[in-house]
Amino acid sequence: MARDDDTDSDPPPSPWSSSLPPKIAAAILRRLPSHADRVRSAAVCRPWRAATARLPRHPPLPWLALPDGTFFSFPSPAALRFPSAAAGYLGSCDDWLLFEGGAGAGEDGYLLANPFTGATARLPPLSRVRFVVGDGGAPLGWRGIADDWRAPFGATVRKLAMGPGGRVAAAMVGDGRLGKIVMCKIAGASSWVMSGHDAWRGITDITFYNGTVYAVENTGDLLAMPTGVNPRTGEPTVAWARCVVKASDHASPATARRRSKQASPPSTRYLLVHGGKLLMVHRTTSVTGGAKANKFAVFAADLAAARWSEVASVGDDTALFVGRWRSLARRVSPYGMPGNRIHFLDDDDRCFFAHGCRDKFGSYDMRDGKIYTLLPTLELCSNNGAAGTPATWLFPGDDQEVTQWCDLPYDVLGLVLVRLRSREDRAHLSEVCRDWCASARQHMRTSRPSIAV
Amino acid sequence: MASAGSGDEKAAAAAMITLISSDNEKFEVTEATATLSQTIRHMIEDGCTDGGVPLPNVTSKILARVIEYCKKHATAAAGEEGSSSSFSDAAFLEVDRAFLEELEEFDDAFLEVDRATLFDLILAANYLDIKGLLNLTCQKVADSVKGKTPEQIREMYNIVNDLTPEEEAEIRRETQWAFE
Repeated sequence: MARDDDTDSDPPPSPWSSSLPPKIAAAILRRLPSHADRVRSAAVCRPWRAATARLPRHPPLPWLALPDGTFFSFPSPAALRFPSAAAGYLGSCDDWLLFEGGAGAGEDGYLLANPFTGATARLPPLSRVRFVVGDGGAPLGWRGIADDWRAPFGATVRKLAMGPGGRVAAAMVGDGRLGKIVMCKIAGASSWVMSGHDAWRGITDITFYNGTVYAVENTGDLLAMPTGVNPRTGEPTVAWARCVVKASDHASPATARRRSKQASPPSTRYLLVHGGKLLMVHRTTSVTGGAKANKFAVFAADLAAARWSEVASVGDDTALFVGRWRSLARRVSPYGMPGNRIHFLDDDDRCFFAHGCRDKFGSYDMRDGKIYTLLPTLELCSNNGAAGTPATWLFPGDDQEVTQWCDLPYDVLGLVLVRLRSREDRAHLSEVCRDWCASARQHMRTSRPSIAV
Repeated sequence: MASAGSGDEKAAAAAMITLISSDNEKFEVTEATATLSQTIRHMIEDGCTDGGVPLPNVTSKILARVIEYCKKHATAAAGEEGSSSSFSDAAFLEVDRAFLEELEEFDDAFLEVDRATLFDLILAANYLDIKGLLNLTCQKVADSVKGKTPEQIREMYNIVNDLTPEEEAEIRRETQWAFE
């Protein structure tokens, strides 16, 4: 078949691009669990791009950021770097990295930078906090966090949680032992707001759940702080945090131990929302065979009964990714990854878990209680002496979600279309996007024109 | 190959099927081997295999490889069935493990082909509806693109970048990191 006379013309198009049946291309791309590999494959050529669009959409698996600016797209062991500076972050929040320091020299605010999109947002410094006295009270003029005489020395942002819609954020500020919740709006905030009369408590994590900010204490107690948005200023509102779940000894071995005057092992608690429930992951270390090992227990908040109930399994299709800065549940079965696991990091800057522990990073299997390596061929190394900037998860959003409705199957769009009586509505529907237009035209050709109402 | 041979003998009494490649080469295979292909299984069920099964989309070179794969995996399937009834549990597990290891080695060696052959194997597996072979070959491609940039993938598979400059600029704007 080869022709000698056209050796100097362009090589024939590769069969891997044009002749690969879309179904096969999708079958290949489905075997790429890492978000980076999928995005890169989608940028190879048009047929591959189209095949990616045909894949069923699931929220992508997270990334792992290391303090030196290296990234890993879980579970790929390939180190990646971003064009924007990403080293030396303080922490992370969803797909944002949080940096300390404002725009100019001497500024002490916070900067959110999205390494995926390059977007940035500024958050005010902790020297500008408005204290709200009493529920629903008007905030006083701003003061510094250090003006609160009960505030721990050197309080910084230790956790940032994005509110629904990404308009407001809640932060846990403190020194790692005592903390408090502050809030601000994302765009154009000049100060944080804080409930003035609340005590500083030993909270270890916060999260949004059903429009309320929840915080968990190192005792296992769960606090709830109702929040909202001031319609006039767009500022979030704060209120007194109430204790909604009092930890029993069962959910809080630390309390039990304190009562029996035993030293409690280092432990921390993470909060996350999964399957419509508020979950707490209790991480502790235990000594087995002369070496320290991580242990995990998962509890679901039963807010009606004001108690924690232990969860034996998070589901064979789901894995939890826990970290000091962000914890999240992801369905991993579409990516061919083992479920019912807790992927954890050496993310405590007080070296609770790092000290003398074999498994700083790992993957805890809830079935057998064993710990497996997190990334197969990689020795993750955090800290390297630089205190305060441990490894952290990044959770890129499903950026293709917005286009999902465009891919409404032809038949389904037809079903929607026949339910529209007026010709005008049908016309509008067909103008939404190219795919809908093509589908609508097909259907309109086959169905009789309707009577305009 | 010895085990494949004994598998053939065992099934020799069973019905043989003739497969005819696009270049008219005939291949005699046992029904157990042929029915790893769902496409051929349906043809057999419909009773339209007399005089051979023409496979106009598969060349003799590729069909020979596909049959090699099917023979091995059909033997494996038969071996599993046989061992489960005639061995004690522990012995069964031992045999099973050795068998799976051998099968894995076979698969690895089987995939040591150039990219053109791999492509044809994928198309043949798809056309003949051989799930195991399709899984195997697609996984091979997926593994080969892991950790690669779009440009590296294009080079590897000799793919011409057919995205318009505008499209590429848009992709780069959204995911500049993917090109580094």
